[in-house]
Amino acid sequence: MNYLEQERQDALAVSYVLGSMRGKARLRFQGLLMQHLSLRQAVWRWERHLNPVVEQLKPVMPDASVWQRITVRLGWSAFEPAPAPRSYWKETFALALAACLALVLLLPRLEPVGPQVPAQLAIVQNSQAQALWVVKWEQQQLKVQATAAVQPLTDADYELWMLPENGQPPISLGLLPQQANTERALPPSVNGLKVAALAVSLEPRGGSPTGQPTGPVLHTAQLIQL
Amino acid sequence: MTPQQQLLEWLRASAQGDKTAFESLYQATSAKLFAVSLQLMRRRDWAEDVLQDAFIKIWHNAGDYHTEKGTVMTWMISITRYRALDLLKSRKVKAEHIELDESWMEALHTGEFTDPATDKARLEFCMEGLESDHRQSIYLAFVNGLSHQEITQYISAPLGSIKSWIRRGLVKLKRCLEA
Repeated sequence: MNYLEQERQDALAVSYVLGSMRGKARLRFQGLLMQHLSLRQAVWRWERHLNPVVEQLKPVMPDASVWQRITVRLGWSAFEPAPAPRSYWKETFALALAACLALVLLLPRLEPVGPQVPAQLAIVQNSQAQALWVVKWEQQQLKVQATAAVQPLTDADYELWMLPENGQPPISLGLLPQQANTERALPPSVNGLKVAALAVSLEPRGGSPTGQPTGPVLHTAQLIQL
Repeated sequence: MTPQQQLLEWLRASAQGDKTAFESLYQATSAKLFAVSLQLMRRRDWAEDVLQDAFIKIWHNAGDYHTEKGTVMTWMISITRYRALDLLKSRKVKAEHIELDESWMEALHTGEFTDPATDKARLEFCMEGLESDHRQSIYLAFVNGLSHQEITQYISAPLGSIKSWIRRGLVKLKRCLEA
């Protein structure tokens, strides 16, 4: 291939990767990509160059229903969650603010007078950003406060899971209260593990029969260092 | 195991049908990919549609990944971006609703990337070497999916200048990155 040809390929590739190539030109180029390895290689080179730019964006947690919908589409689960609400930003901000206020109100109840222990906190929210549970993770203890927004279940339970950062399978942290609060010792199996996230799944009465989540994952939440 | 090796391990297992590994991959990368999608779609529900489609494709095409396509994250970002670009056109996202995320630019100036051996540090170095108009135009096109015409509304400059800034900026960037 001569130099000019290479230049032209490179110009097309970068315009494709950047997104400035639109419409029919884009479709035509996708057809050319299938036929020419050198063109694919030019595209890969630009992807390697430019994609790290967006790796630096601040991560944003998607709604937990996205994972559920993926598992439904892959045929792994029959459960069809309600679609995510359509108009978003204002609502989300207002409700996130409400969640923060709720947290401030709930904190004193979770924190009895006594010596301060380093703790981590997570707020499990529904898709409308309403706080459902406030989870406080202390050295050996887990304290959970349910809010009034928790939907009561009659023939099922909410189970809380810890997702280890090293990719190990989730570890059960027990059933979540549907009202009021609970306190329990953390299972020894979590010792020494970093927490990637907490997750809530829907399980049969009494919790998962297998020791791993069996029902849909309804919510996920991140622990925040206090 | 480095985070990159871990992602590769989950992807390899996903290619062999391991659902748990795929879920781990999702947990580890979805917030980053969602940020990428949000910047392009500017609407949370649309960005979620993109994320969903991207992960379906990642599951089905896990076996097509190879290192020439970059790191696992690079490859997943490509899938997410192209899905978003496809939808952007059909949904006619209005550019005036854009909220720019300048965090990457901030990171440039706070010197967050310190390891000179990484590709990111190299990219930082090379991006800093560009003229700011060039850098900003490339950023608006790549991160926010703006057309050259739309960029003229953000940077008060004629269309011809924007086009040439992007072209010259990218040539310079490539020369620096491949030096």
